[in-house]
Amino acid sequence: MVKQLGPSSENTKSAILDLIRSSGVVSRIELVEMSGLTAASITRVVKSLIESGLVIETGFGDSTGGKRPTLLELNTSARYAVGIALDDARLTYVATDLGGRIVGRLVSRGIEKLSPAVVIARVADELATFLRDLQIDVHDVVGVGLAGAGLDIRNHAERASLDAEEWENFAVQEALESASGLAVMRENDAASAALGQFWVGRIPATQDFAALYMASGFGCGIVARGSLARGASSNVGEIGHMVVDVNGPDCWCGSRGCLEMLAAPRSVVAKAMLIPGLRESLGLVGDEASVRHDFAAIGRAAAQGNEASIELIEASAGYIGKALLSVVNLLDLDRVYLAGPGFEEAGAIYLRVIRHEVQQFARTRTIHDVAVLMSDPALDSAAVGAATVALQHVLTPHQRFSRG
Amino acid sequence: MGARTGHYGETMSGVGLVVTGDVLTEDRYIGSLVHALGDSLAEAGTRLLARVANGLEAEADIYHFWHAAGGMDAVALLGVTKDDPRVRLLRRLGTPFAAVADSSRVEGFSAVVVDNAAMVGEIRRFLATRGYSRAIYVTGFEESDTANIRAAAFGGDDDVEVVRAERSVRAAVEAAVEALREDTAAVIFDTDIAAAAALEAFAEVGKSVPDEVAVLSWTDSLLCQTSVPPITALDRRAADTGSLLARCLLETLSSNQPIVLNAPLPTVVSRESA
Repeated sequence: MVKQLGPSSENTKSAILDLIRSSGVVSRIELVEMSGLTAASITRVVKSLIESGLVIETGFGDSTGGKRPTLLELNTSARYAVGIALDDARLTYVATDLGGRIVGRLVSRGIEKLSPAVVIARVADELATFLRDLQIDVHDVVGVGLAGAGLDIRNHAERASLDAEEWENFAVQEALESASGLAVMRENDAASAALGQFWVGRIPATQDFAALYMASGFGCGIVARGSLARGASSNVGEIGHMVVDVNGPDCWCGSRGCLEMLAAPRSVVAKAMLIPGLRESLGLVGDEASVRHDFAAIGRAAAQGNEASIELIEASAGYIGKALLSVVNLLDLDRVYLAGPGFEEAGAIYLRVIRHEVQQFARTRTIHDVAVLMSDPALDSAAVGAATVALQHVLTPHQRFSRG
Repeated sequence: MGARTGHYGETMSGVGLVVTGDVLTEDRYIGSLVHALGDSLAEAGTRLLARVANGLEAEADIYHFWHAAGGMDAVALLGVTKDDPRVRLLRRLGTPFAAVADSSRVEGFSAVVVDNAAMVGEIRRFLATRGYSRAIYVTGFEESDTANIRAAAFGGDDDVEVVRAERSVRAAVEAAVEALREDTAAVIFDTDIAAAAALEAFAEVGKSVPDEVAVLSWTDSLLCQTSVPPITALDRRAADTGSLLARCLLETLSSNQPIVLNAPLPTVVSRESA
C-alpha cells in the first residue's frame, strides 16, 4: 500500500502516526515504503513523534543485509481518550488508551427527564471523578467524544423520550467543553458504533462496512476507506426512514411505510398490545415511557421461546433485513454489523432473520459472501466509538471532520 | 448509597471493580455480569467504576489508591480464590466489599455464591441423557482457581477426563482434537470462543458434530446461539448474578454486616451441538 502524502507537516505527522498505529510494529524503512516520503522526511517526522511521547522504539527487526532496523510502535499509554454515551437508561463513560484498548468504564444513572444544563453539569463532575479514580492526568486526555446528544437525537422516537427539542437548542458540546476544560466532539450513536467497530475490531481500512444501530429508533453508520461517510449535512444513515412498504402506515416524517414505523421497538410494542393475553402475560404497560421496558420483556420472552413474541421479533427483523439488503446492494458491502441496546434481549433472533434476508438475496452473493455480525450489546459500542471519535481527532487529523 | 441523597454532584462515590486485561470484552459471562451490575447500581442512584489492571500487585495498588483518595464506597470482587490476598487487603483497609465466589471460597464476607459443583452435576445429568462413550473437560492450567474447582468436581468420578491446556483458545482446541480418539465423545470448554473454534477444528479433522463428537460451552452467549450448529451451553445466569451482586453490595453497606446470597442455579440450554 502506498499512501501519497502532501507536504503539510501536521498532516504528514498524523498520517505517519496512523500508519504506525495500523501497522502495530514497523521500521522507518517500511514507513518510507508505505508513505512514499523520503527517508529524511520520515526520520524527521519520527523524531518529533518520539519527542512528543506518542511513539516509542521497541527493539530491532531482522537485518536485510546491513544494520538491523529499529522498530517503532505507538506508545499507547502516552495519552487517553474518553467516550460518553448519553442515554435515557444509563450514562456510560469509557476511557481508552491510544490503541483503543479500554482502561476503565463508568456507568451511572441515565438522563431521565432532566434538563440538558443539569445533565451536562453532572457529566462534567462525573468525568473529573472518573479520571481521578483511573489515575489519569487530565492533561493526558486528548479529547472527549459524546454519542447520542443534541442535534443527533432528532428522530421521532428519541424526541418523544428525551425531549430532544430542548437538547437541540442546547449547545451540549460548548457547555461540556467549558465545564470540563477538554476538547469535546459530538457524534450520533450509529456513527459512533460503526467507528468503534472499525477501531476496536481492527478492521482493515480497505474494507468498507455499515453498522445498523437500534435504540428507540434506527441509525446506520457507514465506514468507507477507514472514514465515516458524512454526506452534505452529517446526516448520513437515516435508515429509519427507508421505505420498506410502499403501502405501509403513515410516518411522522411525511412519508409512509418507513422502517421505523414497522420495525422499531415502539411499533413492536404497539403490535404486542393488540395480541389477546400477551399484554397480561408479559406485564406490558404500553405507554410512551415504558417502550424500552416493554420491548425488553417481549425480547426476553422471544428468547425463551414464547411463540407470539418470536413472531413479533421476526417480523421486525424481517423489515430490518430488507432495509439492510438495500444498503448492502447499493454499496456492495461484504460486512455489516448490528449494534445497540435494541438487540440486548433477542439479538440471536434478529441476527438469524437478518442474516437470512441479506445472504439469500444479496445481488453479489455469487461473487462474495456478506457477513452479518452482532456487536455484543454489553460492549458499549456507542461509548467506545465516541472515544474513537476523540482518538481519530488526534491520530488522524488529516481526515479531521467538522459537523455541518 | 450511604450518604447519597439523590442529588447529583453531592457525593462522588460508588462501587469500584478491578478487572484483568480484556476480560470485559472477551469473557461473555463477566461482560454480561458487569453490565447488569452497572445497570442495577445506576438504577439505585449510584455508579460502577470498572478499571483494568494486570496482576495482583497492580490491583492492590488501586485498592490502596481508592482507599486514600476516598473514591469508593465499596469494592466488587470477582473470582475469589482460596486465601485470596485481595480479601485480606480489603479487610485491612476497612473497605467494604462483596464478591462473586464459589461456595467453597466464601469465608465470612459478603458474597453472591455460585456453586460450581452443582453446575458440574447439571452437565453430568445432561450428558447422561446423550449416551456419548466419553466426556472430556478441557480447561486451563493449575493457576486458575476456577478451573481447579471445576476439574475437582468433574474428577470426583472417573467418568469425565480432565485435559489441561494453556489458557488460549488455540491450545484448548488443539488439546481437544488431540484427546479425541475413535470413539464418540462429549467435549466441554470453559469459553464460548473455544467451543466455537472447536466446531471448525472438528470439521477439519472430519469429526461430525454432534454425531461423533458433542461440543458444550461453560459460557452461554450470542456466539453459542448463532454458531453453526448452535452450541449447547450452560446458562450461568450472568445478568441475574450481576443484579444480585448489586443488591449484596447495597445491603452490605446499609447493614454493615456480611450478606450472603445464592446465585440462581444454572441450567443446560440444549441446542444442536450436543
